[in-house]
Amino acid sequence: MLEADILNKLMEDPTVVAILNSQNGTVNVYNGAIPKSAPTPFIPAIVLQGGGTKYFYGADGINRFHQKTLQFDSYANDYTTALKVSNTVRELLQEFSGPLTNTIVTGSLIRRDMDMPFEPGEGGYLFRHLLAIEFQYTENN
Amino acid sequence: MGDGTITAQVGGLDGLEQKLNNLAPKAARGAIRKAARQAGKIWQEAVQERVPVHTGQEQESISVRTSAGAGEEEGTTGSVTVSVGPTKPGFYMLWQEFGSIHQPAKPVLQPVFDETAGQVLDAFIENLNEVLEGLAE
Repeated sequence: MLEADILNKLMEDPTVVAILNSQNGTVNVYNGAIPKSAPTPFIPAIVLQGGGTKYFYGADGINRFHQKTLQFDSYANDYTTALKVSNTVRELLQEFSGPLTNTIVTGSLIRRDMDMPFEPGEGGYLFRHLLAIEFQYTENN
Repeated sequence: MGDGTITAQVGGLDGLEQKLNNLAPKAARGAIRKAARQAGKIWQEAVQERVPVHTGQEQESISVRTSAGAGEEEGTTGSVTVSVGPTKPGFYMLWQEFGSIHQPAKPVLQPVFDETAGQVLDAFIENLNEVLEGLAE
């Protein structure tokens, strides 16, 4: 599954780990949303969400080559850190191609890179920067 | 899609170029915008059908907007943009489309765009031909 592979790639990357600077003993990379039960402080954090998948068809059915857009939301207590986290993800993945555990990524394109309105957080506001990357990949099995 | 809307730009319609060149720039711009607006209504209806209703404002707030960008030469039109998405009363649909810190996204606009882009483009070409024929009469 592409999401799991990319999540692992983020969590194993030393630059991402360093910038997230976890004080709660975990690397704050989450799938889907940050659970309310997440150990604090869970900021700065990256939230990865899967978007639509485009399938390709041949005479023998669905091809194993897919296109999927993943959304990476970077949250932080200030704007600069949110942007810095997002840029780190972009630097890591914008020209990425190669084999991962379950998939082989053949290309990636940045589809969206934009600020989002800030959200209410504990004792202030959370800043958010959204990055959407489209991956072209093949499933291993 | 900075404000939760999807924007599409159409170019390369060589077959229609000559007809448009025969029109005054203002009339040509008007023709393209009219055709694009009609085509954009396909997106509007599809989004209105799918959008979850919480307050009742969601469906009403989905609007079609068109804008024309300036061309390289004075008096010419460079591009026409169609934007379909919520207006101010439906601003919270932004979080539905992209999620929030504790809530995953449940997108509507992007899937509708992906599924109907071809249909909208076909409708735009058809509409533009009709509009130009109407102008010629």
